[in-house]
Amino acid sequence: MSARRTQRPRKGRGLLAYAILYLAFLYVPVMFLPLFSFNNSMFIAFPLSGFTTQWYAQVWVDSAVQQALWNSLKVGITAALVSTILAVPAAKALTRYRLPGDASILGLISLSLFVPEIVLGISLLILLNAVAIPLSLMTVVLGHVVICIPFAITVLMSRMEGFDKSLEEASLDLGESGWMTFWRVTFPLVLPAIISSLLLTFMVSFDDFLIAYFLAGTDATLPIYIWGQLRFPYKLPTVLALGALILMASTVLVVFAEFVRSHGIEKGKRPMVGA
Amino acid sequence: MSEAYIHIDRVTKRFGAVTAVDAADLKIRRGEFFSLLGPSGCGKTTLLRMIAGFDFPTDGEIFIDNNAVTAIPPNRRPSNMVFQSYAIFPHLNVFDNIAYGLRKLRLPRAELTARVEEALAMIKLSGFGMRRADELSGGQRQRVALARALVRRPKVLLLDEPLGALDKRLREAMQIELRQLQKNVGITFVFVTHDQEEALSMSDRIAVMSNGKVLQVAEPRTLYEQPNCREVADFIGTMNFFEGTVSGVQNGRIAIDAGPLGTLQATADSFASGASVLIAVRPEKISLSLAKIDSSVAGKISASAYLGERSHFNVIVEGLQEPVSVATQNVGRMGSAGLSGGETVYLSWPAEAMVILPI
Repeated sequence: MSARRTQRPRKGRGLLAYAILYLAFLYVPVMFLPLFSFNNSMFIAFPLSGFTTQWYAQVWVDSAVQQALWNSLKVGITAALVSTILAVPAAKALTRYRLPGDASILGLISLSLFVPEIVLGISLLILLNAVAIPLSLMTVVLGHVVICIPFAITVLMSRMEGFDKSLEEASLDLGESGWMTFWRVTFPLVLPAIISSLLLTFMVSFDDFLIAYFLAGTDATLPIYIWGQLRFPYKLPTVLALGALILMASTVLVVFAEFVRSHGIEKGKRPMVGA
Repeated sequence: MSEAYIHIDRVTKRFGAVTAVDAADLKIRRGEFFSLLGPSGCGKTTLLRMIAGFDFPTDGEIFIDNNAVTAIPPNRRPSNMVFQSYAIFPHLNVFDNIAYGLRKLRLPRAELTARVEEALAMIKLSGFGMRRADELSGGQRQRVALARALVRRPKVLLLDEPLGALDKRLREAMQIELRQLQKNVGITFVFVTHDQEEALSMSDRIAVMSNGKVLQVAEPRTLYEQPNCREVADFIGTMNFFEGTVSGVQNGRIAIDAGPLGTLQATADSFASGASVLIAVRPEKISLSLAKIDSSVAGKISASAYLGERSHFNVIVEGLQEPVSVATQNVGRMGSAGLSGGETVYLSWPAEAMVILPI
């Protein structure tokens, strides 16, 4: 009995060490970003020379950064809205109806996740040139919608598969049209997934460098702007500060997405009301 | 036509190569509690879904109250449905669930509230309006589904195995309650079930289905006592089957040569001499005695089961492939206690206990 008791914590310690190493491997490299962004030296090297917020101040006043950020936000929000709106009917069709060849449609959708973005970027560029559409932020949105749709469909389909399809039938049976059934039953039940999809596709778009690099023309999105700044060594600390800000914003976004998701599940478990 | 409130007129439904419903022809009367009974996959739910409008017939027509509804979508049919899963909207409370189908009627607020409250009272859930769907028990969800459908005052209520998810005791209570409710509201109920006891105890009439075909439509008693084919006889209750050949026909009575059972006399017409027939006898119609009596068959008890108010025996009769199933009522305290296995017993049954079926 006592032998077993002394053994068990040792096993636990091994696992704990493994878990710590695992997390360190994932997050320590990322942590260098905020660390050096507060270092008052041009050079990214130890030892740290002192604390400063000047790089953040530079980000704050840099109009090129702001323009790039604004471009990224515009592209990200538009791409998220367009891809999610397009994905809702697609996900509904794939989960609700027997479509001829729906398995291959699904396969084709997820296959596009594995097409290298550089290939996709070049293909889109050739296509846009062929039909003579000038490059702009709109063409970036177009490219991002292409890469976002598989994510949006996957997120939405998992939610639509998760709820009883007789709920929609019940609504039709109770006299509602298909359109009103969507708004009174399907939409409220899929809403957490729609929000997840919006956040996820926004992140995919915000994060994307390759497609934007090919399709952006003269308007830079944030990743392209950062890439451009890396040529100037004296700009590097500012880029780090910017990176740290993006990191913080994405953390907030992920936490919010997780909150929405779990809140969506918890919804309806309110305390007892009524008699 | 007036007799058929719901007329299923030679309806066929195919899904690809599979024929789910095969030329079903039914006339359901107004105010009737009508059951579709059959094993899973027999087409009963598909037929119900076609009455509701969720599936459309490949062939044939459906009439409700003399109107063809075959191509009308579910939201414009005079029917409402109670789903097997109940399909209570999880994002709405009980009140809003029941009021869901009333929105289109654009009732004044007070009248809407009154109708929902009335429905809540009917299902004995007054005061539960603000409860959320996941705060309800299975039986309560079932009642909310019922109220939600009935509050629209449909001409026809369709019920898809609504008691299947409930435990045995609750199911039995709900059977009585549902039957009572149907009598009170006077609405035509079409009830799908695979549970033959449930169908027998609740229905005015039952349609027995198998492999997409309607085999027999009859009152519960007729279905049990006068099944029209082997499948119905087999599906409803327990039945012993013996094979025989008609050896003589005389004004409504026939003599059947039944091999090891000897020659049996039965009341039946429409059988020609020399025809092969199936003799069906219910286990409880067979009497079992230890002493040999006239025109009885000798057998050996191979298994017995004591079930409280009755006992079951398997009796092996020489020359028959299957043991004969016999059920006896344990009227005396000791019942058939003495019989446990191996004893020689004599089986007999009255002529009217036999159902003679063509093979």
